Amino acid sequence: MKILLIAHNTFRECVRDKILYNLVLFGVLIIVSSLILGSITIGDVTQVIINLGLSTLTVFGTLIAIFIGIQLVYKEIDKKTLYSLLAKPVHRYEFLLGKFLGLILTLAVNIAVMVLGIFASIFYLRHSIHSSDIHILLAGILILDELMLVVAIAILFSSFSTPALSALFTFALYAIGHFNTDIRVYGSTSMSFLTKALSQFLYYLLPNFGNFDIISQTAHGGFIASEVYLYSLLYGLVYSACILLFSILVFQRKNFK
Amino acid sequence: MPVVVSTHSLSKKFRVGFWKTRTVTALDGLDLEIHRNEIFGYLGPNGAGKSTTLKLLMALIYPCSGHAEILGQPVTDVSNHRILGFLPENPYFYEYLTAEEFLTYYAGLFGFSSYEVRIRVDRFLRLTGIADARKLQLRKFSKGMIQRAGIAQALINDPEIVFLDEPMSGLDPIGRREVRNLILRLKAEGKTVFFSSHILNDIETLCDRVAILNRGRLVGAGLLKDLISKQVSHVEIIISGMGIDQLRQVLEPAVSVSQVGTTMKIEVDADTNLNPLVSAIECAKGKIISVNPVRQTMEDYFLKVIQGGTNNPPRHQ
Amino acid sequence: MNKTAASPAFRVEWMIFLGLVFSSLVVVHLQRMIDRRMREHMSKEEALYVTSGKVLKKLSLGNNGLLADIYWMRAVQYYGGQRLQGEKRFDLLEPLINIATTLDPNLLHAYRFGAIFLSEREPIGANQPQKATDLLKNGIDHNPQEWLLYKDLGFVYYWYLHDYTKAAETFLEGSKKPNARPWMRTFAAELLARGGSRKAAELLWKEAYETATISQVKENARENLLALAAQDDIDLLQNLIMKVQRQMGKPLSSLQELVQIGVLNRYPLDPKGYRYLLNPSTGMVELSPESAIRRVD
Repeated sequence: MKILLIAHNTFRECVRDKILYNLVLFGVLIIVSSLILGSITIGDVTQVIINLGLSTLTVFGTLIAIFIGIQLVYKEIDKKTLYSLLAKPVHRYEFLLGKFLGLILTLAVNIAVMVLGIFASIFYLRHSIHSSDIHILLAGILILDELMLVVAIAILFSSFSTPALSALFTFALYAIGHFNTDIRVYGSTSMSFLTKALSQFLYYLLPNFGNFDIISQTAHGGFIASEVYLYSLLYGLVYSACILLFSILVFQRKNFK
Repeated sequence: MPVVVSTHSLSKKFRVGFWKTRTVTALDGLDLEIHRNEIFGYLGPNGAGKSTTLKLLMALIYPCSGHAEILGQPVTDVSNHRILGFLPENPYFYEYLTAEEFLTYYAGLFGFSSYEVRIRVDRFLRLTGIADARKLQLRKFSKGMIQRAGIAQALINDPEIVFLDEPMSGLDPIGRREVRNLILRLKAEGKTVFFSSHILNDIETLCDRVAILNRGRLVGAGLLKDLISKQVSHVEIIISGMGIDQLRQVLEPAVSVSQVGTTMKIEVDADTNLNPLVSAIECAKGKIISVNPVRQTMEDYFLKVIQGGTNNPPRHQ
Repeated sequence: MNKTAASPAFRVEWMIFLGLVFSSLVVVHLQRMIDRRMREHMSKEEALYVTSGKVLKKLSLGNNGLLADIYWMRAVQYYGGQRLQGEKRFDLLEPLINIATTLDPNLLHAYRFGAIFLSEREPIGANQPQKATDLLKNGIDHNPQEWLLYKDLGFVYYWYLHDYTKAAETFLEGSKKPNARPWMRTFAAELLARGGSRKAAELLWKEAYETATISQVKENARENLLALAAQDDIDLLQNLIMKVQRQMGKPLSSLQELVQIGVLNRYPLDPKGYRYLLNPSTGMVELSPESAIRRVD
């Protein structure tokens, strides 16, 4: 209950800080491209719209997740709003989870509106919606799952580091996470046992953002097998939970000077 | 009197510097006891460790050694916070919220029903005099109004023990008087008030007991009436019609003389025989305006213990 | 920190810690499941999201040098990975190398080693020497003064495509570039005069072996030299057998007979220590099927 109150307040903060204004930019982009693409492309225009829409959604979402994510906790410490809040009967983990959920709620609303925009655009171009277009929604959900992991990482870093460094670390981990498969391939081709073991260790330790790369498959109408989709979804959830637990452990011991 | 808040050899060191190698002692073996239904003044110059103590009591930071209890429970037990109120130093709240939303948010954290939340928010907006600004975002609040909102949030749960860190700072004289009255009212309602200040006058006019902190160490504590001596410490004589050089010629060299506006001020020990002094001045055609016996004030005591280090009056039990 | 072991905070921390351990195990398990399923579904169409180096160049926001290095490393890892898994297909090799060289047209090692990966016969390489020449020509377009690229291109023409005229032309062209080694000119002449002689091949590989700085390249040259040496041995043995058969008037059934009649003092072994074999049906000397010597035709 307290977690939800804190989440609600965080959501309110995001809204009043005009974060959802990125939707306007997204709207303009998707409308303009819908109007223009029809006249300059041959073939399936909707595929381009899906690609464009989901990519934009990921980029905006990632930026919000990183830059708001690192501020979530830091801002409350820096502006000392946390002092009065933690003097209420609120556990530190409740605070952390509330902040996390608040931003996830913001991102969910953001993604929902964007997915609706993509659907509207497809309907405009094709004058119909196929049942297979549900894949766009599923892709949106998996992207939200991915962003959840990004937010969790941002919170973890910001619980012991400055915002600038946290942003840097989070972004670095996000980038490395996309090349994670290469780490494993590198290890498997290496002859040295140490390299092999280390690369295996890193492969499982670092978040594998490659698991969430489904945009181009979605655009081509095909979709990854349903069990892989579910595993990826679960992967994001459990990995986020793992990082949040670690953040709580750090946060629980923190001194707010 | 039952003890509601106690600390035992509470110490806190902070690591500072780029490599976190140097340590600074913010609090050094603090022993405090606060009794039920008293106004406890926590006095000390800036940087003495007052806020550190309050943060330790709120479990915002953890001690390096020692421990502290509120109503017999360790301060890390968050369930204590149901009956606590806390106003941080220079508070800053969610600037994007209106005063009403802010108090509603905090009241909700105590699990009150929505009806009760509304009643309480209304009551404390009125009590702290910001009811007219209830629909205004806190970012538009002046420092004094923020302080009032801060007091309102600290009281929203009708706490048994209220911790106020520098509650008067940023307030105008009227606001100070209101807060003073509020604190007295809290005592009348049977609550315990712990408040810190570096302003002596506030402490002097309000507190039952005080503790004085300097550089992380307790340098004096006790009932206010014991700390401030009733005895005359010295006598102040104001004289006009004489220049400072002229006056010096008349008096013994040890007597302190200073110029105050167009008049002269002489300070002599309380047990000095004033007769020869008065006649000497009158002989020199000086005019005595006033003779005031001066008693020791809180300020004198404060300055004495702060400058005197640690060997000071025994702690009051 | 509260040091009392039984305090609630301490117990909570332990629970969080256990949750942490448990959830990280779940994460690893899920990743394994995903990897297994993905291999089933994706083994044929491997992931290469952006196939155009030009697009990537724009997307890299000016970091194309770094990205080129990354793609080059991916190409190397891909090549190594496919080889290690015993895959005979290297479908992604050429696109990966092309992306790397488009991102950074001066990435010399990508052209040079890329050409070797592409042109070696399966299962060592992708057996696409034509693509290797395209790659190297592209490299020469962007780096016209680099004699090593001419050397490599000539090499591909000579060794993998057996186009001796083009090889000679390329070597001659390259010999005019700065720092070109003098043997290029000699070799061009040799090629024009004698075509695909083993002598010429040995010369070339020996040069490659001696100048190689990368261990894999050196190793490749060594393997080819050993293969050529084995070919020399086989020719020698073949001549010997012809002579012996003419003297004895009957075909030999194995090389062991050469030892028995005292022509050889021990059984002939190839440079890697495997026995040469005589195929009784054709009468030809061959490498043992187990031999690790590289086959050349």
